[in-house]
Order: sequence, then structure tokens, then C-alpha cells
Amino acid sequence: MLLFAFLVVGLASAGGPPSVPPGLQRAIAAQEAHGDALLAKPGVIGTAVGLGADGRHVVKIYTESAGVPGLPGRLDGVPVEVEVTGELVAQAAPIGVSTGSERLIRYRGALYCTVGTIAARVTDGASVYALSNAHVYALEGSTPSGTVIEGLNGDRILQPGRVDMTAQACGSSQEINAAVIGRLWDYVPLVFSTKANNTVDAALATTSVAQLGTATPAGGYGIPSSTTVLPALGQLVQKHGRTTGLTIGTVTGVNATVMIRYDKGQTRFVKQVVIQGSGGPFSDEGDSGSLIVTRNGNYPVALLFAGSSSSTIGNPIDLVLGVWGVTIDGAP
Amino acid sequence: MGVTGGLLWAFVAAVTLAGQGAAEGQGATSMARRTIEETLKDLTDRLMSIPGVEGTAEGLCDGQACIKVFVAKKTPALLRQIPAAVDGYPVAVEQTDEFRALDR
Repeated sequence: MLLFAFLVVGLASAGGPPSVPPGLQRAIAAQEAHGDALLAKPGVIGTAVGLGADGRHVVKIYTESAGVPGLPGRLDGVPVEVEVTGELVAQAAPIGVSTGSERLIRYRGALYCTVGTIAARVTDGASVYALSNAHVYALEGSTPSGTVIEGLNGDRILQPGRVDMTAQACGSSQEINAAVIGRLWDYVPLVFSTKANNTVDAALATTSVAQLGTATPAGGYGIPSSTTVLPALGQLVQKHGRTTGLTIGTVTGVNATVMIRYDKGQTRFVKQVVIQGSGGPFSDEGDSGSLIVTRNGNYPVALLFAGSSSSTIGNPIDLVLGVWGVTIDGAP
Repeated sequence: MGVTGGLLWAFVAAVTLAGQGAAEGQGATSMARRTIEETLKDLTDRLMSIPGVEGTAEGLCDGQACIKVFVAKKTPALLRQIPAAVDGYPVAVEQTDEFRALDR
């Protein structure tokens, strides 16, 4: 549905003022007036405004198969063309790109949308899930009563995240509806204390193989291995994230104990991995949730969740996957 | 000031090691050395209570196992409180700024 709505807008702006052909306006009016009723017919999967063979504007009706009965030849005087497209399947999103929760985060009295990165598709053998940070999918923020997570299981999870939507700040409802790839399934709550022993900042969203793939976009590292390796000092690693894309770095610290600043306070993590970028920062804001893999073999090492101007911090990936007993849905 | 403090710590650590070795009637080389995990655990609890210390980790310094201490900003007052070596492991201080969650 939405795809076709965008098509219409695209055509309208391409034609553009000041000389919008009257045929286009009539066709758009006809499509808007009858589109919903047409979509209600079995076998119809979409409508659009297009150009007919004679160069005149027509209303197009897309169908699953040939011979769908009861379709009009004209709508309010505008010619109709039927096109068999077969079932339309949304393209699966890549990993290592923008993602986030539909829910807004409350911070100092105002509401904000946030964004992070999809680490990978993971599987428990039966279902598949999108992996990212708890502070990306379940948000984090605290109320005076001490609640530190604002998200709820079942929240809609989006690709791209709302920060990256463009129709309006934090996205229009159309953009949000079109971006849903799953729902928040579970997350590890963060304990906010300077003496806390947090080890992972992780969350899973339900998704499907049709909605989320296993590879980064072209130019990334590709498909992660389903075999993990322990972080080791000197290990050459890489990640693909929403903000800085593909970057390369080296593991410079293991078994780290670090204080991490979140919107609502600082807390402590233990057993962490420290990475330094090669020839530039390894990560920046928006890369939270990126999967860190070895440069050679794409073996998962850690889940990126924090950093400073000089260093990046990740959770050892085995601790993350062990929470749910899942594995990276990647190359064998 | 920081260098002086570090040297003092190194001196204390060296004397402690030597003293232990002598008490056991053995050379320092044959002493059972604490693992870096054990040393780091004790040191972490102590150092993390110092304002401005953001973290600790096991690292490599010139190819040798060492302890890293991450600080928001290297200041003489802060460096004075961090040892140069503990249990024979060198301590490297890195100015990392504050670590924060990387959503936007």
C-alpha cells in the first residue's frame, strides 16, 4: 500500500507545478477515490497512477494473477490498466544498519526518538530474532521510582530507526508503519549502580527471514560466521554500524571494568572488551548494537554498546548469546 | 608529580616483592606470581573508587601483559593515586574521556 502511495507522490512531484497535466490530477483523484475499494477485492494487491501506452495518465491495478474478475475499465473517466505483478514481498533489511524502537524516550521532560544498529539475525533453531542493545530496543531512562527501562515487550521495532526518517521529525505514521521489522521480545534490564556488575546491554526483537537478512549492505563485511570466538588482545576486528559504517580496529583491552554514562546516569559493566580504531574512531553515536567480528573470517567477538572519543566498549558475544541460548544466523 | 608518585609505587611494589622473596628464602624469580586476573580484581576495586577513573582492563604494553587504567583526564592529582606497577605487572594510564552509550 505505502509503496504505491509513494509512487503517486513521486509522479506528482516529477510532473511538478506550475504545469501539472490535468490528466494526472484526474488520475490521482480517481485512484484516491477508488483505491481502498479496489484493494478490498481478492487478488488485488495495489493501485497506482501511471502512464498508459498512449502517454496518457491511467490508474494501474496490480494483481496477484491474471483474470481477477470485476475490475473496472475506467474510473471516473480515467482509463484503467491491469498489471500482473505477483505477490509483492518487502525486501529483507540488511544487518549493521539503522534500527530502533517505535517508542519515544522521555528525557528531562521532553520526548526524543533514538537510533542504533542491528547487530545480526539470531536464531534459537525455531524462530529468528533481531539482536541489538537493550538501550536501543527497550530504551533506557529512569523514573524517580527507579524504573530504568521504558520499553515494553511487544513494542514495534523499526528499520530504519525513527531518527533516520525524513517526512517529519521522528517520522510520520506512514514511515513508521512501513519500517516495522518485528516486536521487542526480551531484553536484559540494566542495573544502575556504580557497584553494579552488568555484563550485557542486549535485546531481541521477533522478526522473520522475509524482514531481516543475514548480511551487511554492500561495502560492509558481509555475513558474520555463526561460530563465535573469544576476544583476545591484539585481535584485528571490524564492524558495520549505522553511523560510521565499516570500521577496523584492534582489541586493546579484555576483562575490562568500566563506568558507562547513559541518559539517566552512570553504571558499571564488568568483563568487557575494549577496542581502538585503526586510522580513526571505531564507532560513534548511533553505532550502538553493531556486531564486532574478526577481520579474518567474520567470527563474532562482541556486541558494541558504548564508547568514548578514543575507545569502543563491547560485551563479549558469548555472554550475550548465552542469555537466550541463541546463535548468530550466519555463515556455517 | 605523577612520575614521582608512580616511582614511589614501583618502589613499594619492588620492595614488597623482594621482601616476600627473602622471607621465603627464595629468589624473586621462583616466586609464585599472582595471575593478572587476581591482581586486576584487587586493583580495580581500589582504583574505581577514585573520581575520574573510568575503567580498568588487561592489556598489552610493548607485547607484555599489563594493566590499563582508563581516566577521563590525566591530571597530576589523579596520576599520583595510580601505581606504576603492581605484582610485577606494569600499569598504563590511558586518557579515554568518559564512556557513554552510543545511541543517538
